[in-house]
Amino acid sequence: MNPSILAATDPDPAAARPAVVAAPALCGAELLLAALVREGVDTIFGIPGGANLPIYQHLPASPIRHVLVRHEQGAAHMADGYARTTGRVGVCLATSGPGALNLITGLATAHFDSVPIVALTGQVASGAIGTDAFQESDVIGSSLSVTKHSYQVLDARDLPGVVAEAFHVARSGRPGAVLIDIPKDVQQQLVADPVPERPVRLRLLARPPAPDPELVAQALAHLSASERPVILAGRGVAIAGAQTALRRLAERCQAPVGWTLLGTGVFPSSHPLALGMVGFMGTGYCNRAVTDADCLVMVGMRADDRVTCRVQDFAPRAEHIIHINIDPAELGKTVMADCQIAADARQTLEALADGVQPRRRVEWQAQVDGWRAAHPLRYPHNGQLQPQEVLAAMAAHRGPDDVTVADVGLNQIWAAVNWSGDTPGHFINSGGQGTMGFAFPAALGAQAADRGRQVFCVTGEGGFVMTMQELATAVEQRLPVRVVILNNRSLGMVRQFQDSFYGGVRSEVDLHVTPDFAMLAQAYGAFGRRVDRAEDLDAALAAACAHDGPALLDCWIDPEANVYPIVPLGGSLAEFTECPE
Amino acid sequence: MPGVTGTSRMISVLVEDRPAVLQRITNCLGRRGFQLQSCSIGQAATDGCLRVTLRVDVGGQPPDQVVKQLRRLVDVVEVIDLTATTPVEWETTLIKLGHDGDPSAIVREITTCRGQVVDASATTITAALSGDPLLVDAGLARLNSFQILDLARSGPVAVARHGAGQGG
Ligand SMILES: Cc1ncc(C[n+]2csc(CCOP(=O)(O)OP(=O)(O)O)c2C)c(N)n1
Repeated sequence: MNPSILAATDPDPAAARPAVVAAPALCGAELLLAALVREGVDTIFGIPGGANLPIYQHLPASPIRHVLVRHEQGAAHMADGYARTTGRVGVCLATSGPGALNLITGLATAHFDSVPIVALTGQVASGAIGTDAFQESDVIGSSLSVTKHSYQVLDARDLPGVVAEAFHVARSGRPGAVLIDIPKDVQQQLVADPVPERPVRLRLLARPPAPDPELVAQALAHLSASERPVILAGRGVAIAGAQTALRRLAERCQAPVGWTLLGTGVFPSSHPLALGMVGFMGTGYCNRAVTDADCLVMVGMRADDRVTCRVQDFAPRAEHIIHINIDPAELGKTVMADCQIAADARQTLEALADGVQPRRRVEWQAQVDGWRAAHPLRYPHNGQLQPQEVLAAMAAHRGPDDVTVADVGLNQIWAAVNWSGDTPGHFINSGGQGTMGFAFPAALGAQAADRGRQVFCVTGEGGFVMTMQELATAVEQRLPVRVVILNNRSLGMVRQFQDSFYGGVRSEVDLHVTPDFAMLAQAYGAFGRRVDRAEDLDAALAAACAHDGPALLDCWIDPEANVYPIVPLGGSLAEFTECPE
Repeated sequence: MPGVTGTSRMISVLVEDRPAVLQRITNCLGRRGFQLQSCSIGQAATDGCLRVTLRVDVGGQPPDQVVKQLRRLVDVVEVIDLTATTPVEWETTLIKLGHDGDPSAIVREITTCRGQVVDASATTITAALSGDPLLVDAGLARLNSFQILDLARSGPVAVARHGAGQGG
C-alpha cells in the first residue's frame, strides 16, 4: 500500500503515523536481492533470459554490481575466481533451460575444488514445471552430482531463508557449490506481510569439528618416533586458514612439506623445508621424499590418482600415515591411513604443532637436500622461447599481492611448479576437474573482486579459445587482466601424452588454425601483442602491465616443450621421468 | 535373496522430508558405483522426517564409504550401517499364482509358509508373505512349483535390535 494515499484518504490522523503504515508489498525478486545484500554479495556474474527477467528488472535498483558475461560457463568460473581469491561466496545468475545447463561445467569445477559458489537460475513458471515448457530444464536433477545442495523455491516467502541457508551450506564445513532454482512466477509473487526470517536449520550450524585428542596423541607419537617425516598439504589448509599452524608444525619437527596442485601457496615456496608439488607432474625431490618417508602427514587434501599415481606404491615405506580432512568421506577412500582424523585442519595442525617434540633431523634434511640437488626442475636451452622464460619474466612484473590464474594443460603445470609465493589464493587453477577455459573467466572474477591488484592469466591457446568470448566482458568492465598465452600451436599436454604413452601417434592435437590472438584482443578493444623471443618479453610485459584495461600477450613458445618430471601412466611416484639433458 | 551378495550392506537413513530427497540419495549411490538392491521409504519416528532403508552392494569399495557419502547430503540426518548388528528385518511380498480351478494345493502351501490369501479369482490366488526376508525367500521357494503370474517384493525395512535406537 502506498502510505501517501493512505494518509490522504483516511480521516483518522493516527493512520498517517509511519509506525502503522504497512510495508509495501515486495516481489520475490526484491526479496532475493535483499537477501543477497544481507549475505554481503557485491557482485553477480550473469546473463538475462526469459525466466530470470523479474530479477533483472529489480537488479538496477539494488546496490549489487552485475557483470554481464557472454556465456554462462564464464559466469560460473568468474564466481569461482572471485571466491577462490577472496574466500567469500561467489554468485552467478542464469536463465532457465540452456542458460542453467551452461552453468554445469562451472559448478562441477568449483564443487570439485571445494569452492563456495551460489548459482541462481530462473525456472519456468511453477505451474509449467514438468510440461516440457519452453526453455524448461530439470536443473536440479542435472546438477545433483556437481553441487553440495540445491533448492527449488516454490513460495517467495521462503526466499530469504533459503538464501541464508544456501550461503551457509556453500561456505561451511567442506565448501562447495549450491544452486537455487526460482520459477519466474515466484520471482514476481507479491509478498505483503513481513517475511519471517526462517533460521538456517540448526543441524547445519555445527562448528568446525575439533580433532579427537586420542588421535592427536597417536599422531604425535608417530611423528616423534619418525626419522623421515613428510607433510603433504592441500587446499583444505587454506580453507581452514591453517598456513601458520602448518609452518609451525613443519619447523618444530623439521618435516619437509610438499603440496598438491590446489595446495600451491599454503606453504612458502622459498622455505628451506619446501618440497614443491607432489604427484604425477610434481617435483622429483618431493616424489622421492614421499616414497622414502617413514611417517606421512596428509592434511586438507583428498589424495586423488594424480597425487598418488600407482596407489599401491604410494608412500611404500611409511609405517604410519596420518590423514587429516574435514570430510570423513575422504579418509580411507584411496589411501588407507592408519591415523584418520576427520576434523578442521587448523585446530588439528595447531594441536600437533603445540604437542610435537622439537627435533632436528640433520640426516633426513641432508638426504632431502641431496634429492633437491639431484632432481632440479630443468628445461632445454635450444634457442626457442621456453615457457619457463615467459613465466620468469612475468614473475618479475608480479607484485606480492598479485594473483596468477592458470588454465589446464602443460601451461598449468609450468605455471604451478614455477610459481613462487606464500599466500593461498594467489595462485589458482582448476585441479579436480581440469577444466580447460577456466583461467580467463576466473581471472576476470578475481579482478572484479579486487581491482587494486594485478591478475595474470596463464593459459594455452587451446583452453583460451574455449572461453575467449569473455574478452568482451573484460573490455566492457575495464578489468585489466593480463593474459599470457603460452602458445605451442597444439593441445600440448595431450600431444605429450601421445608422444610418451600412446605410441607417438599424434592424433588431432594440431592447433595451427587459431586466430592471431594479438589482433583478436585488439578487435575487442584490448591490448594485444605477439612475442617470439625471450629478449622481447620484458618490454612486452611492461607495456601490457601499463595498459589501462585488459591486455594479452601471445607468446609463441617451443612447440615441443614438455612438462618434466612426469610419472609414466600407471607408474609409481618414484618412477618419474626427467627432462633429457 | 535375489541379488544379495557378500558385499551387500543394510543401511538405514533418516532424512528430512524435502523435495527430491530420494533422488539425492539414489544419485549419490549411483554416481559412486554402489548398486542399489532394494529401497523402501516411509514414515519415521521423527516429525518431518522419512526413514529410508537401503540394501546396497558396495562391490570392491570400502564398506564405510556408502555411509560417509550419504552423510554428506545436506538433508540427511543420520545414516546407520545395520549390517553388522543383525537387525530386525521385515519384508512383504505379493505373489499371484495361477491354477486350473482347484486352488486347494496352493492354499495348503500358502498356509504352510504362513502366508495370507489376500485376493482370489476363478483361476488365480494372490498371497501375501510377510516376515524376515529369509522366511520370505523360503516361502517363495516352496511356491515356485506353481504357476507364478506376478510377483512384487517390497524390499526389507529394518531397525536395530533391542534398545539400540536409530535416532528417530
Ligand atoms: C574442457 C576440456 N576438454 C578437454 C580436456 C582434455 N585436455 C587436457 S589438457 C588438453 C590440451 C590443452 O591444450 P592447451 O590449452 O593448448 O594447453 P597446453 O597443454 O598446450 O599448455 C586437453 C585437450 C580438458 N582438460 N578440458
